[in-house]
Amino acid sequence: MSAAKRRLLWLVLWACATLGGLGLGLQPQIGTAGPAKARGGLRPTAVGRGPVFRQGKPPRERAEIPATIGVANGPTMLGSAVYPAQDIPLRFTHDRHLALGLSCDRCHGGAATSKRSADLLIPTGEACDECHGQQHPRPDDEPMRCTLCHTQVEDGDRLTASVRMPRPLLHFNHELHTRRGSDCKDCHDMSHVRLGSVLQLPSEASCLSCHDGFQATARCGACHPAGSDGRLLMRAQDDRTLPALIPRGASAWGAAHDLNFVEDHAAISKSNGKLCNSCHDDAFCIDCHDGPIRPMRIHAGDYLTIHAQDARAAISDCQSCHRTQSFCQACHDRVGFGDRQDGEFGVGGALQFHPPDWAGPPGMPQGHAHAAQRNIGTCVSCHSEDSCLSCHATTGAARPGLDVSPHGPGFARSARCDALAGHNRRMCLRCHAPGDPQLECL
Amino acid sequence: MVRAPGPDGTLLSRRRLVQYVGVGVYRILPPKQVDEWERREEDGQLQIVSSLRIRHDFGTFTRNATGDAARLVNRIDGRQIDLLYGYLEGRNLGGAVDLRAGRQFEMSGLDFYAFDGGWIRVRTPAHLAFEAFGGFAVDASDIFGFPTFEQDGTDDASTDRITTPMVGAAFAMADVNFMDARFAYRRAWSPAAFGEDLANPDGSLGLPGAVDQEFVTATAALRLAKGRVSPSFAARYNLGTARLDDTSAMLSWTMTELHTVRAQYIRTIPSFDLDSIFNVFAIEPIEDVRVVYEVRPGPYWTVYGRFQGRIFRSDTTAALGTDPEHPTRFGGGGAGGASYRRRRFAARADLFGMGGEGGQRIGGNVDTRTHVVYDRLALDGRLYVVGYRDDLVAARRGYSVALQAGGNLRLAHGVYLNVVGEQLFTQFYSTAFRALAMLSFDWAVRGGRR
Repeated sequence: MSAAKRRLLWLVLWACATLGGLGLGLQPQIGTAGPAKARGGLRPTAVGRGPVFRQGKPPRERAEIPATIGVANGPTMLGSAVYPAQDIPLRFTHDRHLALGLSCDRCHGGAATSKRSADLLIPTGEACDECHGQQHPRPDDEPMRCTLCHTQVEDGDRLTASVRMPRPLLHFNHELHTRRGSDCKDCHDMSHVRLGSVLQLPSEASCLSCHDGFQATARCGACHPAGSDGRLLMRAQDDRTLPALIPRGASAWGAAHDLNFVEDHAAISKSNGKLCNSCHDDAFCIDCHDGPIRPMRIHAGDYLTIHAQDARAAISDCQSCHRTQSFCQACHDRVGFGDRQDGEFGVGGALQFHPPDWAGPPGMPQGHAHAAQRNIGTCVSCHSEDSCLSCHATTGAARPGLDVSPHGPGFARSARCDALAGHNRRMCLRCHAPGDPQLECL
Repeated sequence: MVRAPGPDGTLLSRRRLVQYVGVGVYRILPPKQVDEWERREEDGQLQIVSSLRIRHDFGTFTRNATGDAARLVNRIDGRQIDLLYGYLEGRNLGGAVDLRAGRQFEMSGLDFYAFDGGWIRVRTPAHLAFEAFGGFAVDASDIFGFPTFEQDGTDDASTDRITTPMVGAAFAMADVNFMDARFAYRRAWSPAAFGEDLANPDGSLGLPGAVDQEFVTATAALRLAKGRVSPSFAARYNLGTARLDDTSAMLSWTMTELHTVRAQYIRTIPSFDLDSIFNVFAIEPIEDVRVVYEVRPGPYWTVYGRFQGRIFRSDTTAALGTDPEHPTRFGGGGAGGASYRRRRFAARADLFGMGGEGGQRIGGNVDTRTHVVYDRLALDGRLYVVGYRDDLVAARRGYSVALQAGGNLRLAHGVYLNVVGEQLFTQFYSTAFRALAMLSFDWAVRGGRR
């Protein structure tokens, strides 16, 4: 196959995986009832409240942002990690019922005494019958009125879909909240609401308006289920096909996993590792830093060619995954970039890696000095200490050099000299011969 | 494939097979009460976790390596069994004690290290927790050792092979709502008693004792305005080099549910094992300033803008008298991008440009994931484009275009197959293809009374 044909084949494959998939992905989910096909808008709200969605619009269940993790992350199901996706194939208007003066407990009678989030608090058909006439079960002399409420009915009397409302992955005690004086509308804004869905369930931001650590506990595990190790469960039953619990929004406490989180997470974990540890154990870190997950955004495309620029600019900390004196040097030596005698770039080799004026005998321009001062990590990825010793060691040292001092002005009397020599004299002896007066920080 | 430089341009193939075996025994302690199904968290719990890695490169990259390259390459990619971690963990024992015993690692950002030993933390009612830990640092040359977290800078020298004990202690705020803070100390050293059989650079036997690492670290994070404003700070002082070699400050501000800003300042100086002379040459810090603004303009869209500025400094060396051409060099760039997320389709696109130390880069990418069959099959498509120009060598300039297609398939409960293939187009290769496939099994069995 010619190169042109291969390129064409790849373009077709890629187009299938993206644009072709786009067509599939934008189709509404089969079996989703209600207003799922409607388009909705999101409008900003005051600080401290979650986003409010316009009446009757679909839930904002979304796929995961791709490419943060290349593989290893399986496909995910609908819904959020807190409120799983619901199917409510009903026709109902809260607004109209409330306008009639009905109180919440008329239909949701069990709510006030409910102690678990798993309790099913939506009214049964029998409860509707009190006003809408006997239908559950329907007496023989009553006409069928299934379609009055149910939206998926065939042949006038056969329901093809029922309400599916998985329990939220939360610890929640309605009774405790009502006993402390909370009213339904404090958490559930039902004004101008037709059907009612996960959108009327409280957002984390609204919970934290009371759970601020003073009025009520702000401990994450008070509401979010945690494992036996105390960490929050990122996915229900640790199932990778379910959506993950990811901190976002106004209550993320500085750890919002936004679009730049992969690039910036190092400084976040440095200063607030405890926050990371509330969800992630150590193994989670090693999965990316030395494990099976290959983050495609970090090493995208022809990274083999471009990585040298990244290393020199210290765009990311290479040492967080790679030891320069083993990982980097191994590959560089293997492909001939090292300074070994058998390398193409070694002493006397045919190729020149560094530009002219990079290094030479004393008195010559020494371009390498400033590169080493700024970011010696790049030097170390090819060179071992022996490269430096050939010039910077004193003449009487174990591996004699040209006695060219790399120390800056005032080093001998500095606290840095004292610290280096006081902690590890072995290092000093690499360059200085025993008995050398320069061995003392005087 | 990797092309070796030189007149013949040999292509070295890489065909790596890596197997991870993770075994855990969880919830070892039974419930305290007979009518409980599982032990409550506040009653404390024990577990054992471990991860073993077996790896080998079957390509010519390792097979045909010679000399020093063979030694190093085979350590990284040769047939090897690594115990990444394996420890017994106790949490909340007696309501106050957490502990670990076995091979473990610390990866806090300020410090990376793996050790065989123990760690204990005791929480007090006074909102303070005390930690103590100690053991032996993991070295790649040990059996079941691995190189990722070992000390850098003195690879394969006698000072690298010596056994390195390590101890540390810390205290931290515990269970305080508005603030986290931790102050830690760690020291790793190599006593002379462990180096009696090792040679000094001059050939004499018996390495003298020395300190390999000694740090103090301090971190603090505040949560103000109900978590919407989060300033944080971290610093590491290297007692061996007498300087702050890692400092960062960050402010995260969530203006509304839709608008967030994050600013970071990072200042680092490369540091190595104190046995390494590289600590002497690393003089100037690298400073990095980052600001990210993100907004959700609509229900499906997220948009961000990013600025990154970098400062590199050069000093005059005393003996050489070389003056830097530019004492301070600025670099920087920015990025912008957006993500679009629907029920079964998500995409993100980014554009970026960066200049300064290292050279210039400009590029962009598009990443998509489509859930074709929920909880069964997802397809990935990605496009990465980058153009670059090196600031040292004029010949190092070019472009690359990478097309990736992949699939994520759940074969059965707990059985996943992930595949991704990439075709690369650059001016240096007429064609380049690589593939990655992963088959994973994630199963648990329940034992015991319940």
